Amino acid sequence: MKRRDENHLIKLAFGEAELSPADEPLDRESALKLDLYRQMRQDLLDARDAVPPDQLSPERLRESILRSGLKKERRTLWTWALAPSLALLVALIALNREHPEANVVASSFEAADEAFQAVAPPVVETAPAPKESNVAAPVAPKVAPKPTPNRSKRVRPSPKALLASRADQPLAPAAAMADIMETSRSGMDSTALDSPETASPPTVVLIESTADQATGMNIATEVRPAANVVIGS
Amino acid sequence: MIGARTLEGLARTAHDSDSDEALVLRARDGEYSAFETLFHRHRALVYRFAYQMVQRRDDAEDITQEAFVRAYQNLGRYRDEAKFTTWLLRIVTNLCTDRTRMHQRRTGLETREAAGGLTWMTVGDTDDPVQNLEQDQRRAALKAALNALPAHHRTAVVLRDIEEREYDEIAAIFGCSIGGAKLRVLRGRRALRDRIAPLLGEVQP
Repeated sequence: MKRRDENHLIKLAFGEAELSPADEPLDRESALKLDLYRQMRQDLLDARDAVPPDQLSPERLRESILRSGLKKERRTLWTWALAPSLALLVALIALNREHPEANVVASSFEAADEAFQAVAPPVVETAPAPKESNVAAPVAPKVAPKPTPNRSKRVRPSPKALLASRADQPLAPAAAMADIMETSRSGMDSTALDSPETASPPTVVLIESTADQATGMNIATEVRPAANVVIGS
Repeated sequence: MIGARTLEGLARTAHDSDSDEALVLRARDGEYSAFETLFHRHRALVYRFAYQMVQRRDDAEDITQEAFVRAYQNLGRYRDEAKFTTWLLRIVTNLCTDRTRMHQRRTGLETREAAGGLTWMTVGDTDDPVQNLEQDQRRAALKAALNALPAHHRTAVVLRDIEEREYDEIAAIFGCSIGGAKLRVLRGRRALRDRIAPLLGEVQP
């Protein structure tokens, strides 16, 4: 029997279709199936009443409602925002791993920093003498730890490796080193560079007593400190 | 004339105040007795439907109670587009489906048990077992066969052929179109027939 015919029989048996003259007379197989479905429908209707009595009570329901409490506020907004945020974060990390050249600018500062640290001699700090003692005891010089600039955790070539790679090249002149220091100073932590060991000496402004012809103000001259200059009278 | 109009309005008001929607509004405003009225009115329907789905009295009671608890907690989300009973039966359907998933193993055992029951009834000493089946035996067989159906088929058959719900309501409960609901019922009936046919003497192809 075709499925379409069987569906029609089901609808006939469950009262959802009328038996048309074209359907009659039904063959034996169809008639048997129709009887089967009619019997099934009657059994289903009878099953409706075959339900044991319940023991539900309003008190039981009230207790259950009180126990479970009112429903909490749904936090769908941030829940839905969490998934895209995580996906974006993962995508950014993956992108960062695929394109490490995105840090080219930062790397130039770090190279200058590495060069500076490689060339700069270690700073020797002398411990102060004890106050009670009049005799200055010999104190072993202590090597102070190098200031650690605020850097990322990325793997960089060590200063020794950098020196080894540049062994065949002459060291940069002082002027070039000063430029590198100035450049790296802007990208590094100020606290690390302002320490007495690493900070560049401040310039001195000399204010003269003579007035300028154009502005009428005292003339000021900016000079670099030197050992052979005496400031003041 | 005015008196008749007033009486008609009062009757309508009384009828409206007694409707499910009005009771829901009152319960939403904090009047718990209105929700208890809803419970008394629909508990038999919910329990009967749950029992037909899970075939166990204690499970059906638990589901009924849980359905009303969820209904109370979610009264603010109920919209008047659907009937209250439709909304309630949708909650019960979800609970029954969850329960069925939780008790997969038990359902499997019952399925095997039902299959054994059918064999016992069809492989008898008599030539025509259908004639010898008593009415209660046939009901028990139908119960077992219904319990062996997948949850979506069982839900469709119970809603339509036991609870006699209209197709638009079944569609609202399932969250599908009316045509989809008709198709589900049709497939459920056919699946039930496949399981129950040996009981009634039909030779399977």
